[in-house]
Amino acid sequence: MFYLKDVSFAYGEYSCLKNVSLKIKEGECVAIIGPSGNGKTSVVRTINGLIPNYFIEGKFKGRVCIGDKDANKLPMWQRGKFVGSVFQDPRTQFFSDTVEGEIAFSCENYGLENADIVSYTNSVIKDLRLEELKGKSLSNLSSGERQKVAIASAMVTKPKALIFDEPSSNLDNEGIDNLKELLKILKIKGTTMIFAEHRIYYLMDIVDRFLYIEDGKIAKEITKEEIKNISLFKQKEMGIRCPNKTTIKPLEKLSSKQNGKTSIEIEDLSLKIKGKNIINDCSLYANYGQIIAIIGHNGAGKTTLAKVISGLYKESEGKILIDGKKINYKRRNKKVWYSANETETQFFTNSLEKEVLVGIEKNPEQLDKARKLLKLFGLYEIRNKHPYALSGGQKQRLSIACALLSDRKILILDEPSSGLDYKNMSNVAEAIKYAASFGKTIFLITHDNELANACCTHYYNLSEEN
Amino acid sequence: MEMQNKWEFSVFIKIIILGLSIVGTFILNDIEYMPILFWGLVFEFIVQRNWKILKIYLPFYIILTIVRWLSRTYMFPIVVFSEFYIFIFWWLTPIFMAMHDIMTTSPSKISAFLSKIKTPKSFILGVLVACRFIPTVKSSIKGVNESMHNRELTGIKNIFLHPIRSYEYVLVPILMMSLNSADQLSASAVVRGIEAPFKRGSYYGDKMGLKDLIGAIVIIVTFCYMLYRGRVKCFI
Amino acid sequence: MKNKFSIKDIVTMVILSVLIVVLQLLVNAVSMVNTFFSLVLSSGIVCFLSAPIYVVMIKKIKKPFVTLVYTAILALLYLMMGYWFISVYLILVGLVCEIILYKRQIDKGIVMAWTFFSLAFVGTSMLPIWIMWDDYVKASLKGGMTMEYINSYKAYYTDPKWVIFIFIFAAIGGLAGSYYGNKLTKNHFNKAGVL
Repeated sequence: MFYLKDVSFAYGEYSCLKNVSLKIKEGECVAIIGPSGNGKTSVVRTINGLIPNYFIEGKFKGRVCIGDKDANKLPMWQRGKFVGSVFQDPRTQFFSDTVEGEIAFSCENYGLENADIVSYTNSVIKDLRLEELKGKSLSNLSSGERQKVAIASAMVTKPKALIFDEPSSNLDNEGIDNLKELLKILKIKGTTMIFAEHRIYYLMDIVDRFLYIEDGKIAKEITKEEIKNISLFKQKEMGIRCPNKTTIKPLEKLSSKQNGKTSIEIEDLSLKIKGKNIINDCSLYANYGQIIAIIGHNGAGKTTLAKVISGLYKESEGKILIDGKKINYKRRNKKVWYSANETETQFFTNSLEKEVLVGIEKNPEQLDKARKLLKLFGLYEIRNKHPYALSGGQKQRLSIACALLSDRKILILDEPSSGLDYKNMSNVAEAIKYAASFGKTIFLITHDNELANACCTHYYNLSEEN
Repeated sequence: MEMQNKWEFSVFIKIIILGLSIVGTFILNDIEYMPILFWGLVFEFIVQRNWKILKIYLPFYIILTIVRWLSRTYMFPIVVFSEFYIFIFWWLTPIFMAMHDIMTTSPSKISAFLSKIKTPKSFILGVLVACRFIPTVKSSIKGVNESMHNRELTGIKNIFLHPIRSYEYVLVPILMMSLNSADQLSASAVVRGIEAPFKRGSYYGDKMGLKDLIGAIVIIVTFCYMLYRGRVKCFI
Repeated sequence: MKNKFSIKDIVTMVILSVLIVVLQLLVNAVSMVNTFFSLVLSSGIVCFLSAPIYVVMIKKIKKPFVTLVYTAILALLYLMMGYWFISVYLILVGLVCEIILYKRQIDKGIVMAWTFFSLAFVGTSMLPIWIMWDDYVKASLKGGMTMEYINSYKAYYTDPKWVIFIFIFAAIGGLAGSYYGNKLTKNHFNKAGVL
């Protein structure tokens, strides 16, 4: 029912798609996999029409057909009735403030009568079993719940197919499990689904076949069996994450004082915000050179703990000792580096060279150190590029390079591998291990078990401690 | 956000309240009768059970009235704000209240009202975007502030010695985020049929009921009474 | 029609205009603590700070009537605050900016248009005083204030020396801000490939 023939798309000199041809039957579920930046997202965009109707600056060649109709002869609003879209970050797609309002958005655009809009919305809420979300405000939902609302919103006009652009990127493990349940319901209903993903373990029961894309071309088709039995080497080469759900390997727990030089001691830490106990009597002792995975379910307080340690929040009770000394929260940022989840608001200058040196004294020693770090993280050749023009993986590595140059003893990285494919995740893990080799204590807030397994030495489960 | 307050007026009545407040404020001759409008609006918010607005504006207005009286009676110069601004705030309080009410109305209700009166879709889209963008800016500014704190760029020394550079550190990430948001939001709207050539429908009706009739009567009565006591300005 | 606004244009315009408007209102609100600041300096400062956002908006959308949409949004806000006369004024200002920008080289056009806007922006502080002055005087005299004391507030707007200074300061703010905005877009937004 979807048919791409010799589709090519190029932005100036850069070709993101080169003669891509594929066929997707009605009711089929297909996943397009491959390393980042090789064309997965571009393929799904040609199916939902964003290429070439929205990204009009590029050059498009080829044919895209829905059934026997030439899809690009249809205006976008008509195409939207056949193909629904679910993007990476639901928060950036929402218009309404309530669940029903958001789900009903498409129906409202198509000018349906109020009674029809209400009936379609209620019917999709029932079909996808989202009754418990009814009446809630979108800002109070977890990331997994938001993604469910995004899917419901795409399904409300009963399209024949759904495309998913890395839908699990911003979800934790619980969110991905919930997503999987919803996808199963859609599969039973016979919805055609096309995924662009590199995290594939949750799709193994959903997807019928995998298309591997490399350098803008569909290199090969892989069956489910082949993917399940894929070797680690091949997996790395293809840039995909493990096809089986990974559990965190048995790491050492971290709640009592150990031998060795303690870098940070947290005793009976509590934080109350607006009368609510966010952190309750947490204690933790970490040594230099350790890489600690901070895990816990959604809302356990991981990010809040990080902010207290770095001095953004003042603790209500308890004490934090760094190097055996108590430091006032206002001065903790001199010893603790906190890299937030969003990379969008982390960079300030217009080149990597300048970015690494922000807030650093520009003497020959530091400049030399900066050069070495950039070279090590594969960023030296592109040192003149603007930080916002970097890929996700490059941004994370830049952030770690800045952390290392700041010479602070404790680094806290919040979800550094969010949305990264295997190769980039490995590179980040290597960068983190390198940082630890300098004797830094590194806290990794992550739900990415593969990252934790690749570099962590210890773990601290906030849900258990809190 | 809580469930929709069933006492809340429809957007149509809120606009009438704002409109009559503006007209009343500017054509009233004797300003000393302005408080009639204020108390009329207080009653409107009591009907709507909107305690949030009352908690802000009642103390605000009372304090302003006291300050004005003190400065006039005792010639007591006001240290922080000039008397002119105190006067303006006191004078415009009813309008501010009505506007605050409209600005804090749920965007779904506003878009329901706009589609009822058959406003062009691009205008409705603009209003929805504006409503949902303001909280995003707030959280981005927080994010930038935290990043700057991390890089030790928030010290008073830094801001005073390099004000333009500090401003750039805040402005560039916010602008990047805004442009990115614009791209993603518009892509999301386009794939969900925003360009469809039909007048927009709405999930939430903006239903009118008895409460709206009460609201309309109260504001009209207040308006007329105020102008009856305070007289209309002579514009000739 | 090549010049018709796409959905992306509309969303971008609204978002960036909201950013400018919020910034302008915040600075105006903060500056009210000091009369000199709010009457004399605020227009120049506000227009300097918001210039880069305006530059990005014009350069991103590259179609006519963007400035008018922004001034219309600002006008709507003033209307909701009761300042209907400022709303009318701002729409006219927007139209003049469009005429300045018409068929002009973009960098130059932006500087000229925003400098004009900054001069005109002084009106948003002056107009309330002119229009509401009589009511204020009546109310204050009634309470027992002297005309001399009342008039001291208006001093900045009645003394020609100060009026000229206010306009010059505003123009410098707008001019410097738009040059700075042009430089900022080249260094950041063009370089990052966003514009």
